[in-house]
Amino acid sequence: MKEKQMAVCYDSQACIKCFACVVNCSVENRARLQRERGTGVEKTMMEKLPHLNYLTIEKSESGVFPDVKSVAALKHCQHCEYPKCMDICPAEAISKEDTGAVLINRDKCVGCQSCIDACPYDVPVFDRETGKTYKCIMCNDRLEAGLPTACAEACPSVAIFCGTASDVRAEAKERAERYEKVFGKKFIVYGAEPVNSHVGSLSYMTIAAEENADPYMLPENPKSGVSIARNVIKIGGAAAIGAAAAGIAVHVSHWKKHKEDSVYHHKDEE
Amino acid sequence: MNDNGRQITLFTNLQMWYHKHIIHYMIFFILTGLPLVSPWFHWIAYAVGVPVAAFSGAADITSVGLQICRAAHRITAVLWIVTSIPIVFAMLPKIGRWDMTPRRREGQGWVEYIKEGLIDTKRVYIDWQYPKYMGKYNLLQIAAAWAVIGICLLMLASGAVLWFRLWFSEGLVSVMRVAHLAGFMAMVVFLIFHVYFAIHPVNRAGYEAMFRTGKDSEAHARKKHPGLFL
Ligand code: SF4
Ligand code: SF4
Repeated sequence: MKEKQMAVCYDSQACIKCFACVVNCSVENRARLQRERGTGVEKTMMEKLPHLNYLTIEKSESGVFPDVKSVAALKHCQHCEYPKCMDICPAEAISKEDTGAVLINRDKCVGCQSCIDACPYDVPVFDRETGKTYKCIMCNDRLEAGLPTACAEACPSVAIFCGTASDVRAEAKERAERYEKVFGKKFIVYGAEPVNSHVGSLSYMTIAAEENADPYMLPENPKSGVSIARNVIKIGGAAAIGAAAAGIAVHVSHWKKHKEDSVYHHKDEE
Repeated sequence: MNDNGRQITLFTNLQMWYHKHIIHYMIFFILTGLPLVSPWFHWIAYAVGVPVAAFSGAADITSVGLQICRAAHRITAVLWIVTSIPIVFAMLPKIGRWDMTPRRREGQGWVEYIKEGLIDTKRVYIDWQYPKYMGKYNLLQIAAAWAVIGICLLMLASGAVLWFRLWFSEGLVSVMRVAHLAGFMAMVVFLIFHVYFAIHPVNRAGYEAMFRTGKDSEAHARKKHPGLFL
């Protein structure tokens, strides 16, 4: 049976920072407007809405001159195994597909922005114009049609590649091993194995030198305090409500047992 | 009943009017807030969304219902604030005389006051006898009243930040979202106890005063609320 689980990998070592992926992501999203929403070609090219860009660049600089390191990292949804955005969404607008892609259904999204709070990678973005939240969809439509993701298709140096999850994982690990031999330092394939129990493994993996994990926004232990706090409150609240109901039941039975002796029993006494 | 026929006012007309409105607002707050707390309550949003979707042709009924719930939640908050204006103006000048102000007798320390209050509350709700010192409210009611005022202010502040979230930092919005949920849970627990004790036979006179005349016979009040006459 054909493996349904797909994955994408960004190899920061092979990346030549041409950002063709960013451009093609936007192009593909404009094509989606034409395909899915029937928007005219000119209009889709004129659209300036931010929700047409799922890939963004976050640049960071560190060190002291002349030992300065500048990193332009690719920011996108990691398509977590356990998407915290999905767990928190009150509209059940977010789903985890068989391909591994985590999608926001725009028709269902009510724009509450809870997913922004819950995402440990700070990915979803609220669009004021549409009143909805958007994020990378891992080109789920293209993957289902047997096509590569738009970012992978555009990359001239095969620094972004996609395929079945097992193939991508194997290729990524092989590349990391090779880099370790060539450069003599440790490389990680972030997301190939569960990152932690909070997010699990990732369908959008990243190869990076371990020393560059921070600038590439690859936290060792990604956690969403909001999502944890909300779960604790919900569970604690439900327990408190249960305890209150139980306490009242005990009190009622106590009253029933003693009401004859009570000064409050007879209305006249009142 | 040893009644001298005199009546005392437990609740003013304004307090009764406000309390009735609060009941309606709480029902609305809970019904419109629950679908956002958990998908278990999406049936509420669905029920609200069906008629609207029928006319608007909206793609997702639950989603449109959720939007209506969010709007109704905010409208309820505005009505609550408007309704609170007269009660705030009426009550604030009398803050020193509020019945829910903890009042110690002369020379009485806090520990003794709390111990006495708890024993008095036990006398009423466990031993089913009349209290010795209790005023209009017992110690736990006083504590709960202040807690509820705090929760209400928290809900208003956090709700306002969530409503106008685009004006605030993401960090503050996140904290307020958690605070709003925590406040809601605390409020539900309070309401469960409040409703139960309000309808308990022990508080029959208080219940009737709140929903009918606002008054209680002095004879009864002297037994149930001796602190009012100390
Ligand atoms: S990275 Fe954030 S938005 Fe993407 S699946 Fe994980 S939790 Fe959701
Ligand atoms: S903004 Fe939309 S997708 Fe995000 S949690 Fe709210 S309803 Fe769900």
